[in-house]
This record gives sequence, C-alpha cells and structure tokens, in this order.
Amino acid sequence: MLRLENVTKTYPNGVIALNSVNLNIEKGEFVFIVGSSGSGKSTLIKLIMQELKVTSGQLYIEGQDVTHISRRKIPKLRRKMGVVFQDFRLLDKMTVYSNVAFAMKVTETPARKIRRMVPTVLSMVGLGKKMKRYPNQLSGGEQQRTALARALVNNPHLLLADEPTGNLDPKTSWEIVKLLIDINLRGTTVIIVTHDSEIVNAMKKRVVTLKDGHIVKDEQRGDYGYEH
Amino acid sequence: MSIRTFFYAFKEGVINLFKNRLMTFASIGTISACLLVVSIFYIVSSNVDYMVEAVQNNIGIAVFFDDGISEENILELKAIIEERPEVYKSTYISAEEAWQTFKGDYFSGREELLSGFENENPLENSASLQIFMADMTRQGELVTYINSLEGIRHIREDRQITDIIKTVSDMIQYISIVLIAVLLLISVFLISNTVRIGIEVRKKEINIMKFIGATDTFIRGPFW
Repeated sequence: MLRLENVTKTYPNGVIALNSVNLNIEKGEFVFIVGSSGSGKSTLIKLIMQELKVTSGQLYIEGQDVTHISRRKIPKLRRKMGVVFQDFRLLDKMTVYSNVAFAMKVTETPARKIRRMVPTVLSMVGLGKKMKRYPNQLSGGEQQRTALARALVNNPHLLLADEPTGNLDPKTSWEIVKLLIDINLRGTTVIIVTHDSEIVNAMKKRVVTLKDGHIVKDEQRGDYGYEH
Repeated sequence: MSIRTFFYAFKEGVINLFKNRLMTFASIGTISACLLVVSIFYIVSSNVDYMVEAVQNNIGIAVFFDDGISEENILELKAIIEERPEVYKSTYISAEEAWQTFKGDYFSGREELLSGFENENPLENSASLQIFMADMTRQGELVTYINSLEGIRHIREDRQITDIIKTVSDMIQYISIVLIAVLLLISVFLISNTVRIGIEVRKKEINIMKFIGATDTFIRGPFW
C-alpha cells in the first residue's frame, strides 16, 4: 500500500526532517505514527500527500513509484487518499451537506451520484440529521465527523489523519477513533498521526515512533513509548 | 475541463455573485468606472479628430488667374489640378458668382448703393478656383506645382492657419494616445487586483480543493 525506501527529506534551510526512513504499510492496516514535535511526522504526511517532494530515496503508493510524479498526475493520486486535519478545514459558508458534496464536485462526479452518496456517508458518521447545519453550529466532534465524511465520500484506499483528535475532549476523541476503526474494518488503510497516548495505549495497534527524523520503534500491538 | 465542471463553475459563480454582494458591487464598480473613463476619452479624442478633419477640408487654397483668360482654359486647369492626389475637390467660382456673393455679403439691405454699378462687374477678373485639400501636409507641394502652371496670377493660401491646426491636432492625438494607454494600464491593474483579491479570499477553499484532488485546471479555470 505504502512503502518508503531510504526516504530523506531536507528542507531548503538545511533541516533534515526525515533521515533514511524505511517504512512499509500493508493494505488494510491501522497504524499510529507518534513522536514529539519536530520528529518528522508532519513531513511524512506531507510527503505522502505530495505536498512536498522527497529529497532522496523512493516512495511507493499502491505499488506505483510516486517519487518523481508529475504535477499533472498528483490530483489523481490524491483522490485515492482521504485526509482529515486537527483544524477540520471545513468551509464555513457551506452546510455540512455542501461541504461533503464539494469534495465530489471537485472530482467531477455526476450530480446523481453526489445526491446518492452524500447522505449515505453522512449517516454513516452519524450526521444524517444535521446535514443542513453550518460548521459553526456544530460541536468540534461533529465538525471532525463532517471532515471525515468529506474524506470518505470519494472512497479512498488510504485515510490519513493528522492529529484528528487534537482539538477534541477525550469522550469525543473516542467517538472519532471508533469511527476510524469502523472505516478500517471496511478495508480502508488508516494512518493516524497523534499525540494522544491514552488512545494509542488502549488500542493495541501498530505504532511507529519517530524521533529526529528516524524511526526508533515500530511495533505491532505497540504503545506510546515516547517520553513526554 | 469537462462540460459538467463548466456548468458547476458557472452556477457557483452566479450564486457567489449574490453571496458576496459587496465584492460584486466593488468589482463591477471599478471595472465599469475604468471602462467609462477610457471610452469617454476615446469619444472626446475621436470627436476632436473629426472636427479637425472637417476644418482641414474647409481650408484650402484659392487660385486666381491671369487677366483675360477664357473660362475653357480655367476649366482645363481645374481638371489638371484635380488629378493631383492631394486635392480633395475644387470648385470653380466664376466672376459673376463672385460678384453675387460679394453683393450679398456687403450690400444686403443697402441695394440702392449698387445702382452705380448697373450691369458692370467690378470683379471681372476675379474668377477663382477653390481647392480643398485631401492631405493638408502636402499643401506646399501643391502650391509649387500650381505656380508652375501657365495662366496663374496669384495663389492665396492660409499656410499659418493650417500649420497651427496641424500642430494642435497632432498634439491632441498624442495626448489622447498617452492618456488612453495609461488608463488601460490602470484598468488592467485594477482588474487583476480584483482577481487577486478573489484568490486571496478563497485561499482556504483552494487549499481544501487541492488536498481533495482537484486538478489545476479546475482550480484556476474560474479565475481566467
């Protein structure tokens, strides 16, 4: 699904964010990526998202070498991935329904399919009755669910979550994580970057720990080993 | 861009015109103000141009002939002169016509003063040819040419007036070209600024579009 071979990312100012990272994530896996700020987690997400280019090494997504992918092919690659962020990134002027439908319009989906898919996905994340609300009328958890619905509506093979629970209280965080597990059970590969040690420790899933641009730990049923 | 995307962008455009009424108003306002100023200047300058041209066509040279020249000879000369490319048209004014005009201009209302002239024409030798120029700049050339013809007594030309008009019209033309260029530049700047503000306002939306997987054409299309 996702393979990094000796991936190094050096920023123009000389900072080495990732240093010869080797990582292999299989289809259908559920992986936590943990580490302190500046350990290279965000860089890793950005490399997968094609927001940044790899400095050296090889990056494969679904067997395809995307290390030097052309700018024109990037959108197609991104449609295979769904992303959610800590700050939700919803459009305030659009309703929940429109925010999710927006993702399908952008990918030029026929209107009939949009009308069918959006309510289905929204009821899956438990927002079936709040489709007409605007983001500022929703709680943080509901906003994150909207973002999740938007990420899922195009049926991604890979879901990237960058601190999805960073702005949420523990109870809401668990609801989001349960949703992510549901999504994973349907066959989508899920990669979560997080600081939430409680969730990581309780889940007993694969944990990849980054420190100073290196992978220092990679355990199946791991826990949050990083010291605060 | 597919047809569907085109219609989507169009629909969104119309909806957003109403959602962001102030922005719409500001954009329409600045653009129409610019176009208005440009077009007013264009109208003014083309009107001045037209007037100058009209004046040019009415200023010409008057050619007078030697004493005792016959009317046939004058008409022959007229035909020769009219063949010159810089001549717009020429009119023959016979001595009789000249006298009638003169009478009308100077003795109207005092016809009793004319009794002394009876049927004599004091302007007997005043048959003339009025020549209107097609190209005022070549007046000097034409005068030299006509002077070289036989039977010419005198040429009256308004060289000074034509020179002044030429200078003024040239000046107006240059000034209006410069002004229109400057105004067009300002319009282009204002329009591109409006578009840039539009992009700035939608930065978040564009960012979201990007990570959802919108193509560059899809994002940039509406800004063209």
